[in-house]
Amino acid sequence: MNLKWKTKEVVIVAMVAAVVGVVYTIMDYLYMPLSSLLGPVFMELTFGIYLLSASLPMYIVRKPGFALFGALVTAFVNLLMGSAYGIQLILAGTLQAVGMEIGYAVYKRYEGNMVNMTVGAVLGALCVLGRDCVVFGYLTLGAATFTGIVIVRLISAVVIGMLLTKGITAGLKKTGVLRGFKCAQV
Amino acid sequence: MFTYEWKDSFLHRRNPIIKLSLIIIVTILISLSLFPALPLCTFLMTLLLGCIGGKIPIGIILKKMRVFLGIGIAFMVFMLIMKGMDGGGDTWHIWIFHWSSNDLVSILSLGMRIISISLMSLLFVVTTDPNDLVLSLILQMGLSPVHGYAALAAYRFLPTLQEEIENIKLAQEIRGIEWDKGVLRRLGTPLRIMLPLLCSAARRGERVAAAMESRGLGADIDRSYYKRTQIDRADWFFAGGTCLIYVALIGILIHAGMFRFSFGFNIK
Amino acid sequence: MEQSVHKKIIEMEQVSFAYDGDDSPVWQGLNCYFEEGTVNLLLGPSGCGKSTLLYMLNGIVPNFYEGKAEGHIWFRGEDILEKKTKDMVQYVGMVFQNPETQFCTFTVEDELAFGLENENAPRDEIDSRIDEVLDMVGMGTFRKSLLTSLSGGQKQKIAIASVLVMQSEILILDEPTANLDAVSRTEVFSLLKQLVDRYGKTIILVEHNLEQLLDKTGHVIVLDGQNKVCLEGSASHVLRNLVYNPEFRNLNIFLPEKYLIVKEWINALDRVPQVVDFRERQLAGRGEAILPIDEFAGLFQKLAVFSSVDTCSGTVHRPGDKVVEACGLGYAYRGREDAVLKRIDIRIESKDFVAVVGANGAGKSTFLKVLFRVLFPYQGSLRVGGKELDGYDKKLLYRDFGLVFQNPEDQFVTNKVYDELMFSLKKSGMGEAEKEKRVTDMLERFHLYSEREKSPFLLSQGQKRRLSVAAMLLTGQKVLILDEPTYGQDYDNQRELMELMRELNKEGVTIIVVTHDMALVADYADKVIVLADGKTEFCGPPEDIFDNMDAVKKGKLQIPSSLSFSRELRSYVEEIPSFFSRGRMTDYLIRCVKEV
Ligand SMILES: Nc1ncnc2c1ncn2[C@@H]1O[C@H](COP(=O)(O)OP(=O)(O)OP(=O)(O)O)[C@@H](O)[C@H]1O
Ligand SMILES: Nc1ncnc2c1ncn2[C@@H]1O[C@H](COP(=O)(O)OP(=O)(O)OP(=O)(O)O)[C@@H](O)[C@H]1O
Ligand SMILES: [Mg+2]
Ligand SMILES: [Mg+2]
Repeated sequence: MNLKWKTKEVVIVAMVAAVVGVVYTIMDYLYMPLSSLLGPVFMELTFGIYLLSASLPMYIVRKPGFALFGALVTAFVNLLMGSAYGIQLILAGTLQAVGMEIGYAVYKRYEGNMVNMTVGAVLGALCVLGRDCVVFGYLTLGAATFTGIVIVRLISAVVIGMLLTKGITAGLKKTGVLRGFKCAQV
Repeated sequence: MFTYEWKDSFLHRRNPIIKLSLIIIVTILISLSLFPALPLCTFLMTLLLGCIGGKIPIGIILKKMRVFLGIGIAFMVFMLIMKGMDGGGDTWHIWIFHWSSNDLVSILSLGMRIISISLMSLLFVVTTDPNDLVLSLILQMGLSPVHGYAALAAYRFLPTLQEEIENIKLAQEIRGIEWDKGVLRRLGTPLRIMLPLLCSAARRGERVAAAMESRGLGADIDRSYYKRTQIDRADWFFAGGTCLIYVALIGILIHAGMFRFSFGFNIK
Repeated sequence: MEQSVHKKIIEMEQVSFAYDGDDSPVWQGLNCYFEEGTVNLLLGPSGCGKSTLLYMLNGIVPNFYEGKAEGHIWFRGEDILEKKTKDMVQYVGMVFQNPETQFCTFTVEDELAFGLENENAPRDEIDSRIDEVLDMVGMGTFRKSLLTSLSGGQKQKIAIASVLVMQSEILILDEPTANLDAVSRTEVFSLLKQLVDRYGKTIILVEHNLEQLLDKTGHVIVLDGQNKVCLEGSASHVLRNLVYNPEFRNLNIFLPEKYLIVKEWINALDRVPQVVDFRERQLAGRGEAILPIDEFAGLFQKLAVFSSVDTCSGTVHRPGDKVVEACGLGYAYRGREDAVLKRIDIRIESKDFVAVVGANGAGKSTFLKVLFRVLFPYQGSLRVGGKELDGYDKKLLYRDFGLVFQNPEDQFVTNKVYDELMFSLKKSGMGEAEKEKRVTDMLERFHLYSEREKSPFLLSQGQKRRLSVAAMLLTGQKVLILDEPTYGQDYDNQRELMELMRELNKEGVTIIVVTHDMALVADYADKVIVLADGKTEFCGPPEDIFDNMDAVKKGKLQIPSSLSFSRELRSYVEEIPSFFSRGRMTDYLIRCVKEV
């Protein structure tokens, strides 16, 4: 298995991650009014989308480190574009990337199969949950709300996250940019 | 949205990594603070630093902060409602909502936390040249040049991205794909631009990568730097000074009974 | 064959290449060479693999764009095909087609330093080399400028400089002037010439616009579109063959206007013994001018019978409904002090064929964006179909107005060339079979049939452009606006595109074309709008514009060379009128003789 990084992979991932960052910024503004309307449990549904910053680069390249690199680029772009969540994003990005990296590194290494993706998504979601508890005081919300949040977030991370990752990768593959990448070889 | 604005000021001259690390340390500190005093002090001090150290008029900072102030307040209102329904304590109540004093204090510090974190991020962005950020990530943090320049190229691409989004939207509209129809579709908008946008970004990445490599990036020799960022004495003073101020501040606040560590789960 | 004074620097031997996933190879057993210390020009129809060949010279193919490469490319006894791109920096520098996509930093200085840093050059050396190179390209004062603030031509020069600065011996350029106005194009060409003459560089380039280039070229390689080199040699040798040799009559290549006129004239009259004689004499001739005007004029005078020319072109234009009417239109981008559009006064009537011309950055694309309500609010008044644009329903606007973007990639909405065209017919209400027929027709007409299963993003530059225009031409909108529809096209495809537009125009579609190609304006448009510095400098029939030297200068336009050619002929044969349009001049010259 050749796990050395190529310039092409790095730059393409950076570009893709930057776009994801922009989409997040737009989403932050779009969903902001909604989140105060519908409450956090509903908004947790979008968590799968936010997980994309770590899962997409990793799924495309399948080499160690890309989840972290992608997530950090996304977070910095998100920050530099003036997202409401500021420096928090870098923390969240790092955390979910760490989860994702573990998911791909431990079992069935870097194959990009269901096991990798699910473990990565669950670990990523849990890592970010840790941050939310500390910074946003989620634990003080009461047991019912909290459990709701955890369940919805996990489902969203696994189902929506995976569907989006696969869908987007398939779309990209069709345009031929990903030729020579691992995701296009199987 | 805010962008880097060129100026020559104390804050502009500081090394980006130092600024970033300080922000992270302070973020952690205020995230752990139970009472709103520390976030509030941070907010005021950062404001002062922006005005004096960054030479940005206070009016402009506040104008740029408008959205974030709004968000902070919205978040507080939301927490008020959620906690009020839970009905923790009974010290305060309106209609069906009940709060304890503790609730109100923690909500206030949450809001202040969000606002002061946004303010720090804002100052960071306005006073940091992205080029310098990447350089210092490479030179001071040991990031590989390939990654650094890849990130820079991606950032360079952003201003054109806005145009790209408009073009894609327009192209789809002209070619008969309709937008902005109904609430559901509008919510889906970010997803619908995403794919074409990602494709064009990836294509562009491919080209930039080719251009970079054809100019020798990533060859197996050392790389020199025309411009360098460094951490100089003033940076260390700045970092040390900030830490000292926080130690002192926390000391005073504890003494005055206005600071307690909270890890988010010891309230109830 | 004539003896070349230059040494061969690169030699390709039996080179084959196929992109991954393609069945047919782009190249099969290619043999050719490039000469040292001169301008090497690569000619060939669109999609024949010119860019691919350039990429092979510095390893981008097959390292970056994956595929299967065979054969050898010899450079100083080494086989380049076995090397990596990043290890060839000292020898070969590549300037990509669109300068915008190859920059990786923010300022001119950083961009130029980037390559040198990779070579581990010390600071002082970087400093002096940047100065030196900026002087070479004549942009010494721009050292600290932001790249985004430069004009198209300036960007192109910086892109060239950023490769030059690395002192590689060979400079490769892929269509360096495709989007430039006439003045910038001349500047870039003379820069290239200077690099060869003064600094002894070797240049290899692909270019469709040969007007000012051929006299600066040393070695030319002509590809025939069936992955073979069909002609190779010095510029004059190749040109002579392209113009006079019947073997290359159907070769799909753009020549400078006067050669095209003569070539077509000869082709049309190939039964006249004197013409055949002339052709053969020129083909064998060497040393003198490729097109001896006196001889040609003499021959023409001998053969021609002069009739009165109908100077009025086609039918008299009846005023139709107003489609677009701008009055004192202004627009400033947010965050920019000066307005990009300052005072635009335009009137476009239905069934017009309008050309919008002007220098890079004059505001042509901006005007289109205002018209399509992407940019707002505007100052002044802009009426569409008699109604102020402000109050116009967007959906109605887009139903009637079609737009082809300057960048074709923005426009693709599907993943297959075939689907892309089918998509345009979605709402036409035609039957399936009818749709298929029309799409297939279109694909064949624009030489895209063999690419129909490909993703639009994998096409060559020219093919992408064609596809985006073709898709729009199918939709059946009443007004079609095309931003540079023909750049990077070969002769056949440009003509097909323009003829199709003319047909649509005859059927009642209003056509608005933004272009830098004045020959095209003279041939097809019946109204020209010159934008300069955000103002309408001129709005009227194309014949009048060249009398208005002020507008020509301000719009940085280039007078079609058929005008100078017809004037030159006129000094020998008085009866020949002045022409702006190549097509009309060719027709006239042929008609005069046919009537014998
Ligand atoms: N990345 C790619 N993957 C697959 N096929 C490609 C790719 N790039 C180009 N092609 C195909 O290879 C052929 C040659 O393309 P190339 O870009 O070299 O043509 P070109 O001569 O430069 O044309 P143009 O003048 O239009 O730029 C075309 O048929 C094109 O569709
Ligand atoms: N999004 C933007 N924001 C700010 N300025 C812009 C923007 N887009 C274009 N401009 C500026 O507006 C001016 C006109 O640009 P425009 O693209 O309309 O020129 P153009 O006439 O189409 O040129 P070209 O022939 O090169 O396509 C240029 O100076 C350009 O720098
Ligand atoms: Mg090409
Ligand atoms: Mg334009």
